[in-house]
Amino acid sequence: MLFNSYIFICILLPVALLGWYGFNYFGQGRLAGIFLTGISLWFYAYFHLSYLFVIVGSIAINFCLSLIADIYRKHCIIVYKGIGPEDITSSDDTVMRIILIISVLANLGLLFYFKYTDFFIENLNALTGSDFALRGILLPLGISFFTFQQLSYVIDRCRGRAPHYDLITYATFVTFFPQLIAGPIVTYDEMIPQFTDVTRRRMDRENMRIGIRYFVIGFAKKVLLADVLAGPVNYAFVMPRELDTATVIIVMLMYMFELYFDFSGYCDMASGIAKMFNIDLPVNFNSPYTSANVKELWQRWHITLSRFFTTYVYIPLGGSRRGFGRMLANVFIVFVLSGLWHGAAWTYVLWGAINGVLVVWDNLCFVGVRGCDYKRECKLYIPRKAGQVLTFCFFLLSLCFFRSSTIPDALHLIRSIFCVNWNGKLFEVLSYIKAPEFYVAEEAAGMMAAGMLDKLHLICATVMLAISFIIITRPNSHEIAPRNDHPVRDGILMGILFVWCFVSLNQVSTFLYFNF
Amino acid sequence: MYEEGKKRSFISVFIISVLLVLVLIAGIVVLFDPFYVYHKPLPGLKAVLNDKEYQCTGTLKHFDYDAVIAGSSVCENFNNGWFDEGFGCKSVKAIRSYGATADLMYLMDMAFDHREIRYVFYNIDPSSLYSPVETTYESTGCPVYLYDDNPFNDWKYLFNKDVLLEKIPFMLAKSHSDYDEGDSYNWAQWKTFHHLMCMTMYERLPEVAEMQDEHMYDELARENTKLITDMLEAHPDTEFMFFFSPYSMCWWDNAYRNGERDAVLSAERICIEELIRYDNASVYYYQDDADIITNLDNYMDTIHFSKEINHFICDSLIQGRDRITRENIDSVLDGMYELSDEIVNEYIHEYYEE
Repeated sequence: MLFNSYIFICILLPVALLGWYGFNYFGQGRLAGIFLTGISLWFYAYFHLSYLFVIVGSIAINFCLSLIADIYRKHCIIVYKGIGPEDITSSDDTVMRIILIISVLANLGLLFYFKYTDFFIENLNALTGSDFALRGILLPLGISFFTFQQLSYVIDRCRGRAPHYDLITYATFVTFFPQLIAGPIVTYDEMIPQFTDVTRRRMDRENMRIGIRYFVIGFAKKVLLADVLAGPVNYAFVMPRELDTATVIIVMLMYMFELYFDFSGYCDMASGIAKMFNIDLPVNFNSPYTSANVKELWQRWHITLSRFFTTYVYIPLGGSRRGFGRMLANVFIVFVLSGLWHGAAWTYVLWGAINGVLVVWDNLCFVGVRGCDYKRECKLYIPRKAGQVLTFCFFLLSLCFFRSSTIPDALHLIRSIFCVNWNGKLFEVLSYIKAPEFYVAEEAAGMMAAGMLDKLHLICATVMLAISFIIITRPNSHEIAPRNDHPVRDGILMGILFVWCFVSLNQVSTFLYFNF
Repeated sequence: MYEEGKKRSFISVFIISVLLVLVLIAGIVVLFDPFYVYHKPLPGLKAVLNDKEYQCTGTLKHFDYDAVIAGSSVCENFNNGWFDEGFGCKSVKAIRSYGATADLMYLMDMAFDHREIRYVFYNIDPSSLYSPVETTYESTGCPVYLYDDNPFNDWKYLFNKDVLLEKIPFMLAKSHSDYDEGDSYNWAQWKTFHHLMCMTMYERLPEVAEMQDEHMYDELARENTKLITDMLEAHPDTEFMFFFSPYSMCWWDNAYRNGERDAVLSAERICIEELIRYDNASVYYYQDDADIITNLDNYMDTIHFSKEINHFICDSLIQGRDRITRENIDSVLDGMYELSDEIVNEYIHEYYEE
């Protein structure tokens, strides 16, 4: 089930809120947890029933590992050592190490099986000339998110940093539907205390107000911007080798905005829904496209993923403690892994590697951007605006790899940008910018003269890009949502915006079948 | 206290705004009703019909008519006015792509439930005789919320941006143009009818397969025919005119090459023999018109012909030409058998090498 669907907005969300606050109102906190977990599992299984087994299995394994660790600690305290659990650490406890290894293998194994098996087989076949058949395994949605979320918990359990929670609390934390399928990647220590805080179990008007504002902003980003921008982008990437310079530039700009509005819009909706439950989710996007260098961009883009990799990969690898060169290598490794996390293809790995190189470059401090923090003095400083433009362009180029199916396709796109050519594909691609809002203008242009429609599509694309640009450079949702300066005006505007998005979910399909 | 009021006022204003805008949108959709779910066109507006999946049910429920033109996409290019003038009736179309019998029967039942019907002009596609006898609206993604009488699922229509910003403006614009209401669901004006077009769409099998069992479709043909004859029996006062449209010789060439031809002709025979037993039914056969079917310039693909052919069919129905009776059924169907042989051995080689 998606947030931007009728069944979610009209049924699941109201039922979830009523049930959660209803059970808590009558003092049934435990039942409220069970109810919320059940609702979250319904939300998840709505995509595909078999997903349910994956997530339930994953929760069961991690909960059991935590339980074993808990039993072992108590056993140590009572029988053998007579010491407190705080004294048992992974460094001196073999059993904890074994549990840690099992948990890492189990979680990454699950992720590997569902996400990377075919990628592995493809590469094995390519390397060895073997002919193993691809498995075509259905990828459960959000598996990367809930796997990392649980991995962070069991690692900290084995390190003695996290307590054991009862099953209901743990399952509520993992399955909490606002963040289940697209993040942000939350940690137990920021979520579970909120779930167990009884003061958060009563409906709060302020949080409800902020939640609504968050949700509507995210809803609009997703439905009115991302989904419209997706039309020409999807069409263009069917034939990436046929695109000329102007088309590639415009399509990549559209894709850059689509990606941001899609992901950040979904995260805004997640934050809004969570806020309605009095739960604060961590900020995942903080106006990343206004960043002055790539390092800063990655501190503002998918922040919780960067946080996870920093905590569980970068620091264990030594972070910056083992010298400057090792630190740069660690940064690069993290970005390569981050690329692989985004998708099982070499295009993603290369995308991650490119961003890694760019962040390493920023860390080398050859060229700095005024106003940015650097660990040492840069040899040359450029103005912040120039840094923003360059960062934007570099990220746009890197996204050629992110969006392309193959590396040669991506290279072709980049070549098209720099080797200027024109074949008129632009108008064909832009004709896929479909939105009922443009319909009347399209019909009128079509009747006026041949060629007018092309111009109109160009105008529509320009308008969409201009709106996108204005939005990314203005205060973001985290700044706007809490505001309450003009409740009546905002209430009316948000209401209209919500309905505009709401009616956008229904479409009249074109049935194109002439074959009997 | 003031802050608390502000919070409350945002939420209250938001909820009221949402409800008001939703009511406003639903009101506009109900008023103009481009799919005619609630009423026929408002005075001064034309019946603009171009989305059969969305509009057929509405027109059958709410329009004034006493004749139905039923069939597949080959019927869409009929002008209702031809029938109205020729038979002195007021017709609407009941169109279902693929022309599956069960689907058309669903529409016909709807028509009979809402109006007294004098004439039914019913196109029989050969494939409809051996299609499953269950309706396919749901499985093919049709907007089933328009096919029932449940008002609680109408929200998909009432709160629909495409309806609001495309369908209503389209209907208003067409109403104030020279749009011919008789051209309901017509698509011919956007298509090219030429032998090259037809040949492009025809993927000719490289090899001729062995002819399959002649009776393989018989059972399905009987079941589908039963659906039709049930309708004939239930409405003895309605005059039914069934007709077989002229598919191109490419279609017959394909039927021969894939080994289906004998089974198709057998299914047609079963259906026709059954239908001509009824006093309120007559059957017309245009598939064997060699002048039409061997001239691929009449077609945009193997099946779909130009509007001129639709006009020819309508005129033929008016004049009663090419009617199949108990006396001529054998000669007509045997003639089709022979013609298909000639197509394969002779006519098709004008376009394809031997």
